[in-house]
Amino acid sequence: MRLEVAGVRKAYPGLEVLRGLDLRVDAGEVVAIRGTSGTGKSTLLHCLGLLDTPDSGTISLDGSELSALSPSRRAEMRARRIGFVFQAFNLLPEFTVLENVLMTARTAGLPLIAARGHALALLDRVGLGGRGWSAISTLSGGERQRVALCRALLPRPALLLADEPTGNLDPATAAVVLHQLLELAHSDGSSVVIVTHDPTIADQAGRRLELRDGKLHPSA
Amino acid sequence: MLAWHLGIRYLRTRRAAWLALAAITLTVAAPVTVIGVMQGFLDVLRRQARASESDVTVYQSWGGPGIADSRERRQQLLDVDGVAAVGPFVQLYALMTPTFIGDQSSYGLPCQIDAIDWRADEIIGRLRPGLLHPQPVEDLSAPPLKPSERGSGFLTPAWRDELSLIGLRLAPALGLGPLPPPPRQLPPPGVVAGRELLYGSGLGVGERVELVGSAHIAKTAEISDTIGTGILEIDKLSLIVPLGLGQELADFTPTKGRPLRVDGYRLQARPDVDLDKLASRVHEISGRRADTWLHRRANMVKSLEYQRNIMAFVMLAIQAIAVFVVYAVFSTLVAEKRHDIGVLLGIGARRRDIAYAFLIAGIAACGFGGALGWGIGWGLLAFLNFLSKHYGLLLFPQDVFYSPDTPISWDARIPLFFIAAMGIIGLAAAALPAWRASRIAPVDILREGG
Repeated sequence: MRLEVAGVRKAYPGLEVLRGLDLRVDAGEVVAIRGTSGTGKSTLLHCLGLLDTPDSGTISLDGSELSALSPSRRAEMRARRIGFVFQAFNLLPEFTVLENVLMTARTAGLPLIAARGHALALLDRVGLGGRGWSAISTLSGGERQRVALCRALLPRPALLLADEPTGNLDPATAAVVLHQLLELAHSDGSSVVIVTHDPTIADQAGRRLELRDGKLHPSA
Repeated sequence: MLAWHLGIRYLRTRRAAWLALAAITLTVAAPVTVIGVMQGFLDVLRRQARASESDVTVYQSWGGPGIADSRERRQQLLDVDGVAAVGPFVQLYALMTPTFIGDQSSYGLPCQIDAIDWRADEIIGRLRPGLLHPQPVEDLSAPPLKPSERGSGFLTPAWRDELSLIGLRLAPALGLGPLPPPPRQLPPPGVVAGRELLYGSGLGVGERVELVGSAHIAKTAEISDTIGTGILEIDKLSLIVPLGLGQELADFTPTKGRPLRVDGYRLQARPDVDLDKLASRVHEISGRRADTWLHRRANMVKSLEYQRNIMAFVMLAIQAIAVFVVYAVFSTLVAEKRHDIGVLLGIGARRRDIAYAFLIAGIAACGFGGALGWGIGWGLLAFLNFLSKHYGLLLFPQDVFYSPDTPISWDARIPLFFIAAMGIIGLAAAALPAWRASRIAPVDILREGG
């Protein structure tokens, strides 16, 4: 998988957030994007994840232009090829752990029986084996983020987008979750783009970039 | 798949959804009960009307000179495509006076004579055995007979006489030798009186009466049985007599060169024949007026049908009120689940899956609530009759309505109709919240955070 972003611009009323941003992410690469609050990290991630549309510029995956896709095709791409991990976990409280993980299988239209086995294996790998039928409300923050990670990786996405994935966790838990995220993504061959302002996370990425003045710059 | 999963789960786990379910259940149970009883009354009325009417009646104008009756004419009617049986009749108004009254001029009960060929009418099925009492009811103030106690056993004196003659004819064939005819006095013809006709007159089964028809011809007859159709205008006026007696009273016997006449013919149609078309065919072939039973009793049956339809419309209007409940519940549900919907759209759910989830929840609530309402409605109807049967609770005055039971239609089309209506209403009520849910922008939700 190769993600290419060229000349992406995105503005809100009175504020231009992305100003002709370029980015290239190769297959299996882990890229960390840092930046202070309000620099447009989440906006960039939403554009990469086809949740938002840039005002101009192109985003392509393996050479296929994504910006011009219809809403239903964008939804299909999100379901099948792009995984999301959010800072606030964004799990569905009315469903069990296993049902939450399987939700991406349902949105992607994957065969549920096979997906269920994969989901249980993923939960086992993140240390939540046997918690599949637990309610979300019974989980700790770290456990919830691991469930969210399993949900994102279940369809074996080509691109995993993580927005401050450890922002709500204590340092020890954050380290464990980040390790699992990178390990699982690596085993599936997924490219990873992590948006964070935590330098310790950025240090574990293969490439570090900083979002400043609406453009990406190499970071030390 | 995703839509079903979400819709059913949201329905199950949200308490607000149970409110919608309760509203749907009640607005199905109420019409099932009310229309079930109204249709029951209508069915009873139809049966009662059919007891006095054949499928199609061919007749002359009231008070006309009569239709010449002949085997050929009956065969002509029988040959019409769709006709299964033919029965002649004579109808006239008469005064009935008990023979034990000395001064007959002061005691005359007006009655409407329906003179029939017993056998032909039995073939037609118009006078079903169920309408005639197996035992003559001597005590007319006694409570009504149960339907199971009604039945056959209708024997007029004329029939008894005929049966004895058949016995005499059979005797030689059985080797009993010719039997001498028994000395007997021919009894007067037996007539069947409407139950209400006798009710207040003091007359009873076995009494002899004198009948004076519109032709001022008097004849004696014996009341051999009563008939109760449940229609007051029939039961209070009807006197069913043998065809010959009716022809004598109407002066339809062959005299002065005029042939034997009748007022008309009752026709039984073959199964699945369109009665209106059959009536038209009979009219074309016979040249006489021909009407279906529904046409002749349209005032009674149609008026109750209109009442039922109006009530059904009122019930649909009540169901429509449930739109607001369902709409409010689903709007609340969408507002409550706004974040989840945004997340689902974010992880790849299609907008139509989200909309379908709420529509499916609406239909499922209507289906389940409707089925529950169906059960409650029919349970209530059954309970009404249980109270009546086991605790003597009279739901209707028995001098108006003969059966102690509430007439109930168990026709499943009634609850299915209201469940279908509720389904459409529920779908309409859930449509706007569903559409709103599908228009949620996931990026806005995800920016808001958890």
